[in-house]
Amino acid sequence: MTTPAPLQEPLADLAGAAPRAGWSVRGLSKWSTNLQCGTAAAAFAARVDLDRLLVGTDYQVEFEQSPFMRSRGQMVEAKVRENGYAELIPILRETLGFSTTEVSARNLKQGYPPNDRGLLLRATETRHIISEILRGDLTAPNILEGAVLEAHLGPYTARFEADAIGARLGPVLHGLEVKSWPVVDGRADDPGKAAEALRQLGFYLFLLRLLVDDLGTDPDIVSSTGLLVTPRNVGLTPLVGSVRDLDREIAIAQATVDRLPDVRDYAHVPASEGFGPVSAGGGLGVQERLDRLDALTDTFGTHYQTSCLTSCGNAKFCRAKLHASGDPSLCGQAIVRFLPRVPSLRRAADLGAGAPPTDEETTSGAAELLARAGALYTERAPESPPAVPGVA
Amino acid sequence: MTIADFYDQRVAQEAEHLTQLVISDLVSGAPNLAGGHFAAVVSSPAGAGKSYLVTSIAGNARDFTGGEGATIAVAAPTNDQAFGLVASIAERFPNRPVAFVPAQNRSLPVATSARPNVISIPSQAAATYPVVVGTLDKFGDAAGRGNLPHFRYLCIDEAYQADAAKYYGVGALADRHLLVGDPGQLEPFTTDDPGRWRGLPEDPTQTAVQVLLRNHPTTQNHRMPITRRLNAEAIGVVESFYPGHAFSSWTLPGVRRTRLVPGVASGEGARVDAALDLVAAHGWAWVRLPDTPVLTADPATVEAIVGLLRRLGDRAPEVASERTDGMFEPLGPSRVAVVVSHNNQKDILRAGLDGAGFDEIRVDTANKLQGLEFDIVIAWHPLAGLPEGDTFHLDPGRLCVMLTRHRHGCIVVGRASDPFLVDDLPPASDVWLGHDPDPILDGWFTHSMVFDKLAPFAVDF
Amino acid sequence: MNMLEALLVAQAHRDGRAQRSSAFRHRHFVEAPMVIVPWHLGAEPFTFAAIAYGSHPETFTLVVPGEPRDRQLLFPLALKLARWFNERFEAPWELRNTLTRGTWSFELAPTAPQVWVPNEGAVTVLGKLGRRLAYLPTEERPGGPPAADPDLVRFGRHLMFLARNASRAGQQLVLAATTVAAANWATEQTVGERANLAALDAWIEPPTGVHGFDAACAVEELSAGPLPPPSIERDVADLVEAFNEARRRGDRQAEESVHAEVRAIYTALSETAWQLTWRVMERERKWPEEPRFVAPRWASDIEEYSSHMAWMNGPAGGRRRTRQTVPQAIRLRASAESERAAVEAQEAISDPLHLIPLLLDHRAVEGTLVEYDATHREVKRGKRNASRVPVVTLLTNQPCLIPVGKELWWTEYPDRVRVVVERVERDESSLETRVVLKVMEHLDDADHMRLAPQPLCFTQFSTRVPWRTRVSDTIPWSHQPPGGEYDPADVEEVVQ
Repeated sequence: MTTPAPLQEPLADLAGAAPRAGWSVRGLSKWSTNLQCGTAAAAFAARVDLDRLLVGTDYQVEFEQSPFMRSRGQMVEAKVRENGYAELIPILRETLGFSTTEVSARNLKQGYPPNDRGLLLRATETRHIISEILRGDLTAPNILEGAVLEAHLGPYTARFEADAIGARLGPVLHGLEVKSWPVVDGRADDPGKAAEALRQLGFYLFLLRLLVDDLGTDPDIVSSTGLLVTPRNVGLTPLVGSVRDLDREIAIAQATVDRLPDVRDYAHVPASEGFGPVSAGGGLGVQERLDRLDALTDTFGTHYQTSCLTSCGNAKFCRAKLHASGDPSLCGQAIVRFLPRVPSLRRAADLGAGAPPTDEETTSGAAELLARAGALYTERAPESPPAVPGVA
Repeated sequence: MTIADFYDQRVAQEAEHLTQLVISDLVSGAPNLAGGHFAAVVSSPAGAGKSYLVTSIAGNARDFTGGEGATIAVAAPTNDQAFGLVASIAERFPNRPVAFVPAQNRSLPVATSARPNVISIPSQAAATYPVVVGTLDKFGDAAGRGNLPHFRYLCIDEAYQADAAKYYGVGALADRHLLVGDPGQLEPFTTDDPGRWRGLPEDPTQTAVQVLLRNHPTTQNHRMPITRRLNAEAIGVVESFYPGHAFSSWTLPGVRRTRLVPGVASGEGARVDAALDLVAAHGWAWVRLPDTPVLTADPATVEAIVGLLRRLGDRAPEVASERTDGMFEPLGPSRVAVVVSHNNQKDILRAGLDGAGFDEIRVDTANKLQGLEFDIVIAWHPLAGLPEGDTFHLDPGRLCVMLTRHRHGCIVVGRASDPFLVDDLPPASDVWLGHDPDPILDGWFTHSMVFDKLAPFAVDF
Repeated sequence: MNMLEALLVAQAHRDGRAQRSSAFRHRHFVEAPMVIVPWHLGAEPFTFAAIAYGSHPETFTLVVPGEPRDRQLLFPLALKLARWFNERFEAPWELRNTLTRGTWSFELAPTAPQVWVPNEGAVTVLGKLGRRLAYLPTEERPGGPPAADPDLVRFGRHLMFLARNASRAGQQLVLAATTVAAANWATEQTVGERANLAALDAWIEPPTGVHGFDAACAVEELSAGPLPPPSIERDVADLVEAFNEARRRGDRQAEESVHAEVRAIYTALSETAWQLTWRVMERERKWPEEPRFVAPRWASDIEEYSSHMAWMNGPAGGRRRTRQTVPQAIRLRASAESERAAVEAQEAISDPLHLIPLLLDHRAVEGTLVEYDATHREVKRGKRNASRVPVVTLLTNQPCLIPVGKELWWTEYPDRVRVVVERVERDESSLETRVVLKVMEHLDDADHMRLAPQPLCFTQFSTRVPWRTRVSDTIPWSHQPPGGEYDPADVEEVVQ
C-alpha cells in the first residue's frame, strides 16, 4: 500500500502499534460483511488487522486458511500451467469462444520479489501488457497470470493480485479464477466457496474496467462473463470451466468501494484513544488493553451480528460485552424480531415471569406474548428426568 | 369520450399483433425444436390480459382443425385458475363448447357450470371435445394413467407459477406447446431443501418456463408489451420487476382517476390525508412509520392501515376510468384490498378491520391475492420493521404481487428504516454453478430500486 | 425462532443454563448404536485424515492413514473400517423375514442399524467418502486404477445411502449429536454456535456455579470435527510433510515415529468428540420417547433400510445414480415435501411445549368442551341434502384470532377429524373466548370428543398423507436435457 504524505499522521495516531493489514480482496470482503460496525470501519480506515489485535488475550481468534487448502491451490495452478496450458486451451475455446489454439502466457507470479516493491513492478507490467492488448498488438500475451491491478480507492492506492486475465480477439478481456475445490456430479462441491470466488472475480473485473478506462479505452471491452476453472471430481485434473455473468458482482464491487471508510475522518482521534494501546505492541497489560478496547468500541460503536464470529477478530470481545448487558442481538437477529422494545434478555425473562410491563413493552405487543408464553411454559414444563446440575 | 381518449392505441395494436403472431405460429409455424416439436413462451407483465390471449387461442381452436376432438388442452396450476379459464372462454365464445376435466372432489362454480356451453367430463371423454381445460395435476395424473388422448396443442397459463414437476406430467400431451405467464410473480416454492437440486437440469422446483428454455434454447420467447390492469402512473415503479422487458399501460395517463373530498390541514390527520392525496393524484403513496423494532404482526401497523382505510372512507372516494366511461362512481369496499406477507399479519388485520366495520375489504397474503385485481390496494411492505432481510422477505415476486394488484392506486406501508436493509451490500449466498439463478441477489437489487422509485411518494407518519 | 424460543433463550441467559424446549425425545435411540467420528484435511473432503469408530462409550478404534491423499495408504485402512462397518450395518438384514401381501412379497429386517456422529458436518464428510468409494472399479482394467476390494465399494454404497437418507425429515438411521441436542434445548447462542458440540453441551450441563455462557466460551475451541482447529491443523501439516519426506527417503523408523505423532493428535481430538457424542446421547436417552409418532417412523426407517439392503443384494449390487433422472427427482421432491410436512405436524401436536408457539400465534386453539351437538344437520355447500355436521363449542381463556372459515384438525385424530371455525366470541368481562367449530369429516371419531381428556386441541397441522400424482418413467420431450442423462462415474478419474 502506498500512503500519500497527508495520510500518514491520522494513520499513525489511529493505528499506533497495532498490527496492520495489507490490501486483499478477501480482506475487503470480510470488512464488507458488516458495514454497520463503527469499530470495524475505523480499523479498516487505519489499515489495522483486527484478526491480530487481540493476540495474547482470551478473545484472540484464529482465522487461518488450512495449509492443505493452500497446497492444493498451488498444485491446481501448476496443473493449469502444465504442458503449455494444454487443458486450459479447450476450456477457453468452449466457454469463452477463444479462437486460439495456443496460449501465449505471461506469469507475473514469478520473477518478482514477494513484497510491496514486487507488487508495484507487477502493477506497472500489468498496465503495460493491458495497453499492448488494447492497441491490438498481436505479440501481446493472451493469458496474463498473477496480474496486479492498482486502484485509487478514496485516499488510498491499493494493489490487488488477480488470478488471471484472458484476452481474446476483439480485443475482449475476461477474468479467470482458478480454484482448487472440485465440481462433482455437475455442481460446485462447496457452494459457499463458489459464491466467494464469484465475488472475487467480480472485484477483479471491476478493477480491470477502471484500468481500461484509465488507459482511455471503453471499459465495456471487459466482458462481464467470468470463468472459474476448477478440478472435476476428486483428483487435481481433469479441469472444468464454469462461466457466469458477473454484472451484479461488478455492481457489488463498485458499491463496496463507494463505502470504504476514509482515515481522514478520524484525524481528531488522539493516539491514546486509537488501536495502538489495545494491541500487544502497545505495551499495556491485558486488562488495561481490554479496557482501552472497551472505551474505543464505545466511541466508534459496534454492530454485532452472526457473521462476526467467522469474520472478525474482535467478535468474541463484542459477544462478551453483549452478554454482560444481556443484549438480545447476541443470539442473532431472528430473536430480536421477537423482543421489540424489550431492553434486555433479563428483562424478557422477567416479563415472561409476569413482571409488569412498561408502556413501550405493551404497545409493541411483546409483553403480552411473553407473559402468555411464560405462563403456558410454567404450566407445562416437564419435570426434568435427569438431575441436571445448574447454577446456584 | 371516445376510445382514443382512454387507450394507448399503439401499444394495444402491438399487443394484438403479438397475439395474432403467437396464435399463427402455434398453429402453423415450422417446428423450432429438435424432433419436429414447437414451443413458444409469452412472458407478460402483471395484468397484461394473458387470459385474453389464452382464451383467444382456445376459442379459435375449432377453426384450426374444423372442430376435431382433442385440438387443444388448456391447463393452469390451480383449480381456481382453471375455473377462471373455463369461465372466460365460455363467456367470450358462447356458441362453442368448453369441456372441463375436474379434479377429484372439485367442481366448477355454479355460475360457470350453469352456462350452456360448459360441460364437465371425465378425462376419458376428452377425445370428443376440441377444447379441454383442466389443472396441470389433473391432466398429468390422467395422462399417466393413459386416460387422455394426444392433443394438437398444449397451452399452459400461469406457466411461471407451474414448476417443472407439474409440467412434466403434461409434457407428452402435445407436440406443440405454448407457455404463457408472468415472470414477475411469486415462483412456486418448495418446503424441501432448496439447495438439493439447484443448478442441475433435473431440478423439479424450477419453473415450467425455465425447464423448457433450458432444454430447448431455440424456443420462441415473446414479451407482451402491455398491462391492462395497471394505470400508466404505475409503470415507473413496476418495471423494476421486469428487467429488459419494456411495456406500457393500455390506458393513457390521467384516465384512471381517484377523487376524494378535501382533507384536513393539520395534525396527525393531515399526514393520513397527505398519503391519500398522493395516491389519488399519482397512484402511489409510501407511508413510513417511525423506525422502531416491531413484531411481525405489529399492532401499530394494523392501526395505521385501519386509520388509512377509515379516512379513505370518510373522504367519499370516487373513481373514474375507461370502465365508467370517464364518469366518477363511488369506490366500494369490495374494490379495496390489503395485501400482507404473513398469515399472522392477516389474522390481526382481519380482526382490526372487522372491528372497524370493514368486513367487506379483502385482506390476504400475496400468495392468495395473486391473479386478482382491485382499484385501491394497501401493501404491508414485506421488509417492514425487519432487523435484516432474508430470502423469504426479499423475494422480488412477493413485492411484485403486492405492487401490481391495483387499477388506480397503491399505498405501501412500511417503516422508515426499511430501505437501510438493502442499502449495505447483499450477503453472500450459495452458488452451485450450472444453471443457477440467485434469488437473494435478485431480491436485493429489485427492492433497492423500488425504494428509490417510491421515494417521491413518501409520507412520514 | 418463535416467541417461546425467544423466552427460553432469555431464561437461559437469566438462569445460566439451557432450557428444555421439548417434553419428549422425538427420535428413537437404539440400544447399541455405531458411533463414527471422521476427520478430514481442509480442502480434501473426499478422503479422511482419521476416523474413530466403535460401539462402546469407553473405547474406539482409530484409523490414521498418515498421508490421506495417497490411496495406497488410505484404502487398506478404509477397508478395515469397511469390514467393521459392513458387518454391523448388515446384521439386522441377516435376520429378515419375508412378508407377503397378496401377490406381492418383500423382505423386511426386524430392526435397523443406527449410526451416531458428532455433527452434520460428519454426515456430509461420510457421504463424500461414500461417493468416492461407491463407484471404484472392483476389476482391473488396462490403464485403469488397481481393483478395489468389493467390501470397500459396499461400504461406500452404505455411506451414500445414509448420507442421502439423512435429508429425509425425521429419519433416525443416522443421528448427529448437535442436531438432537439443539432440538431439545434453548441456549443463548446463535445457530452457528449451536453447531459446536462442546459449546452446546456446556450450555446444557455447565459445571456447578459456572454460567453456561462462560462454560461454552471455555470449551468452544474444542473441535468435534470434521476439521481440527487451525493451530492443530498446522501441526498436522508439518507432520504430514515430515511423513512424506521419511517415505521418500525410505526411512521406516522416521516414518513410523511421525505416524505415531499424527496418531496421537487424532487420538486426543477423537477422545473429546467421542465423549461428547456419547454424553449427549446418554443424556437425551433419559427423556421419554415421544409415544405416538416416533415408533411408526422407526418402522418406516426399517423399511428404508430393508429396501436399501434388498437393492444392495439385487442385480445392481447397490449401484445407484449419483444424480437422479428427471422422474426420480420429481418423485423424491414430492415424498420429501410430504414427509417434511408430516414430521412437522407430528412434532408440533405431540408435544405440549411445541404447542405453545402455535397457541400464541393463533395456529391452534385449546379449550374445554362445553357443548357437543352431535345431531346438528345442515346442507353443505354443493350438496342437495342435509347431512350430520356436529357442532363443537370450546371455552378458552386464551385470546383467539383464528379467522372464521379456517380449517383445523383435532390433535387426537390429526389425519382424520377436520373441523371448520364457525364463530369466535370473546367475552370482555370474563376474558374467556367461546370457539364454535363444525366437524366436516370422520364424524364417528369426532364423537369421541365428549369422552376425551380435556382440554381439547385443534391445530392447522394434519398428518394426512397428501394425494400424489402419478409420475411416468417416460420423459416427455419438453424435459429431455440436450446432453442426455448424466452418467454416474468413478470420481477418481485420475489416480494421484
